[in-house]
Amino acid sequence: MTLDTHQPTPAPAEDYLKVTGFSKFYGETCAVRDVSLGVREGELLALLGPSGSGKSTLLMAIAGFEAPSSGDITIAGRSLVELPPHRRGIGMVFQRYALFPHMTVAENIAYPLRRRNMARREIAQRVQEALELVRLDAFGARLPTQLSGGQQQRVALARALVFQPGLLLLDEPLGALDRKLRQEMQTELKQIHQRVGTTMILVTHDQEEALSLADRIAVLDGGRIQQFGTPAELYDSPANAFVADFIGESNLIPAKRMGADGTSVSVKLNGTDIVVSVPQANICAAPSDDSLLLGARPEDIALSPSASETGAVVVQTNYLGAMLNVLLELGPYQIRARIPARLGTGLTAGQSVEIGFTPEASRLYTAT
Amino acid sequence: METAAPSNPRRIRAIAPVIVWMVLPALVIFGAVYLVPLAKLVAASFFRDGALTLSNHLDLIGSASFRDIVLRTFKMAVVVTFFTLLLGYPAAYFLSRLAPRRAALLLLLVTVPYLTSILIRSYAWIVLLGPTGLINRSLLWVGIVDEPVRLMFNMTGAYIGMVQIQLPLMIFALYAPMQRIDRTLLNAAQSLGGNRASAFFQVFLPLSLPGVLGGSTLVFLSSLGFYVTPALLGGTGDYMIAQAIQVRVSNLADYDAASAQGTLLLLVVVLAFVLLRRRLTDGISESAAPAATGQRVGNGLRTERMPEAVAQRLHPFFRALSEVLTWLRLPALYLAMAFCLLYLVAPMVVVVVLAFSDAAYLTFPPPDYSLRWFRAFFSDQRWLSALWFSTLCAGLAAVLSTLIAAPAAFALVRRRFPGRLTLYLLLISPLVVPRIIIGVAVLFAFVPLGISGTPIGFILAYALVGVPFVVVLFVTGLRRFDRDLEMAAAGLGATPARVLSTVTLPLLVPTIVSALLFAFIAGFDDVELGLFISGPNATPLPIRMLENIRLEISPQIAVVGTLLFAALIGVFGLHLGVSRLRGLRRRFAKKMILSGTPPRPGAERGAKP
Repeated sequence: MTLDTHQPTPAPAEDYLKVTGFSKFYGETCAVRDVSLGVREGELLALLGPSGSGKSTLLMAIAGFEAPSSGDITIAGRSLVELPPHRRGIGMVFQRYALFPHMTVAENIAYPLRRRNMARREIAQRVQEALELVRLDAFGARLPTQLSGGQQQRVALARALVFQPGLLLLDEPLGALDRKLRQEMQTELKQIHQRVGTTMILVTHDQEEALSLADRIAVLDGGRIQQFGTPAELYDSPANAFVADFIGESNLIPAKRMGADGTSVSVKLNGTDIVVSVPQANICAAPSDDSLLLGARPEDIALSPSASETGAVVVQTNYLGAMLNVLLELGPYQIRARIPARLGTGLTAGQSVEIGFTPEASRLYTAT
Repeated sequence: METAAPSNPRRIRAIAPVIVWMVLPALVIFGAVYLVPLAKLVAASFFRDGALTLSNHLDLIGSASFRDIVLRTFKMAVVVTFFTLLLGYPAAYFLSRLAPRRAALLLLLVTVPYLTSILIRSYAWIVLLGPTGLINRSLLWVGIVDEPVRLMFNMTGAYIGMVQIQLPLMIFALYAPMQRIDRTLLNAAQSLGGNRASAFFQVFLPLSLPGVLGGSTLVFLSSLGFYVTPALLGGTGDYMIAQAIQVRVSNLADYDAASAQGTLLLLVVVLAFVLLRRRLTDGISESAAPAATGQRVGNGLRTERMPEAVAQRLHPFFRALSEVLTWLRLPALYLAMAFCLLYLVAPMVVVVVLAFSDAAYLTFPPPDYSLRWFRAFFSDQRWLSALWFSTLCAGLAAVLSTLIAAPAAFALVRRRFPGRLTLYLLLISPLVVPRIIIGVAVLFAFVPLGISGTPIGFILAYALVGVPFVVVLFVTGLRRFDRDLEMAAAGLGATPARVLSTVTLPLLVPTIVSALLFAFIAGFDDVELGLFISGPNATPLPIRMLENIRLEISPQIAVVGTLLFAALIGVFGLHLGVSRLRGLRRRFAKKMILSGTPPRPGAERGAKP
């Protein structure tokens, strides 16, 4: 585990796409501020963030529909900034697919090939292959409106891949599909990625989608990269309170710095007597910071029965089969815990329990 | 998602000349045949015998007969607006509840009368309203009246004709915003305890008010300049201001007084136009949200107008009333819609039946049927040359107005530049500035150029009145256009020119066709411009028809109407057929692509990446 992942990684030499110091202003408002990141060849990168985080702006800038206010974007060392979209050779799948309604599925897919003045026989063959890739061989003659949402999605994918772009951009590609279809398409997208090996950048606000699809994830908020790393890095060692809460679930409890030794820092949770000692490796705050947030995932909280009236009180329990969600009141805070259901059989609302924070799984963040 | 707004100065400089080129052709033509002549007209009103004076205006304002004319014109416009709203609102509500496919069919029945010449419709009312007309005979037969009622050559006749002419405009203006109202709001209101009638009054009616205001504005302003219908159906003494101006210019050659009258009418229309501009620029303004209504105070509940005790006493009464209305709602709606359709379509039917009359004079229903009036039409060189002249001029004018207005509409919708709203208002203003005034203006412009009474003059004048239709249709079409499609095409390797030719224009074909059609009809049906700029070698069909109606009321006009009508239906049929055909062609597209046969020979020459 490395802790400096929240710093924009200095792009290693083998990065295929490089964004350096990218900022975008609309008048006075700043949509993206000084973002740098690199994507390796063949990688699937997710830009993850809430709406307004700047992820779409970044994607549009890579595609060429937005000019950067400052910074550079390069593919294989060549700057894209001066190139118009049609000369970048980047595939893109739009959120609402943007299939041409006046062309059949086959004509839609043939479109980029015709623009490249390809021989007709070759176009026919490539279209057929692309249709097979997305399992729509029989649908070439249909109009886009005669397809279901999932099928339209696949046509958009085939159209963006058929000219074998070096980079494929996906703008919330699964956002318009219902839950079941979305999961199917996730699997299919992953398979297609493995088969064609194209470098892909996926924009999404759905952390589950990002975690399951991406090789690496850049979490954006407020126009800045909050953290850039693999799904496991983001989940196990969030760089700040935002990432801790945005990826998965975290209890974030205000705490005061009590003291430190060489290996750990002890904090006291505000309004309680609980003191937690957090290992040095889990500290994501400056040593000078005294007001901190203790972060703990619900599954990292241990509960044990208590006789004392000073501990936490169970407010509510939710049975999930294997696990039990427990909502607790600890002084002025509400704490969410998730414990194996068999350990919580005796828990009832109103009961006092002792809360244990596993030191290795607890993290300290700067209070925002 | 924000789309490419030119944000860095480098791009703004690159774009600016493009905007100029897009807007310039429209501006040049508007300046030459519209703005400058109008300015001259206004300026002329300040001169008498070469001296700067206000006396033209003062004389007018002081003259009792002019005051009568102005009052009559305003009263007429108000009454017409009121009745079109009264009839149009339920009809538009009815249409907005239908599935779009069904609504389209009924809307066609509203559109065809709208596109039919005002002359022909007024003529049909002469047939229907006369002392021995269909309506009087029905009334006598039923026994409601003992002797024929005077329905024509008085204000009643003028109102009946004008309301019919303005009704489609009102229905269109109401239908579009009504269709956008979220119907689940009505369901919500009902689930919260309102019945259907109260849901309508509390929720739907307030939400539809912007449409009501927009439609009323349009109808009111265009009624102010009415010429043909009051001239044909109204009483001899019931002059409207448009007739007054026309008589001054054509019969009395009193240009000073005509300029003054025109200036005053123009002033009223421009004032109303400017005051109501927000309603009219809905099409291109950015913020669809209603303007902030100022600081709200108190608990956020509206202050009730009625004292609480009275309100509570009355509540059961209102409740019962709205229950009754709920019950009556559907029958009343169907009745209103049926009446509107009958009102709109009946004159058309009369015209077609009359065209096949065997009688030598106007009588309805005809005693016998024959093609004699068709033969008369096709053997009369004057009719044929007028038809040819109108078709040619209106056709070329439609092309011209589309060529100059479509790029301007692109600029209006897709670019941000200073004076954008003003430009939009300027380009749609020929729709509301009375035709009579435009007629005087183009006459002033054409005489020094020597193009009055020539095809060139007609083409320019017709193009001018066609532009608003092209602009409105293109603005609507472009706003509905999904720009992701253009981005997708660019991302797939299409150059900007290719994006235009393979994606933008093909998808705008319906818009282009309607723009051409409406611009054509705007010129082809024109009477008022023709009154001023026609000459011995340049007589358009409507002027020929007007002469005919004035000299002898014969079934001849019905033949012209029927032919135009058939042409209109032919165009609609063709349109339908073409879209069918296109659907068929698509079904073969796959086979052709996959077998390597060129689907469109030579159509694919793109840029290499």
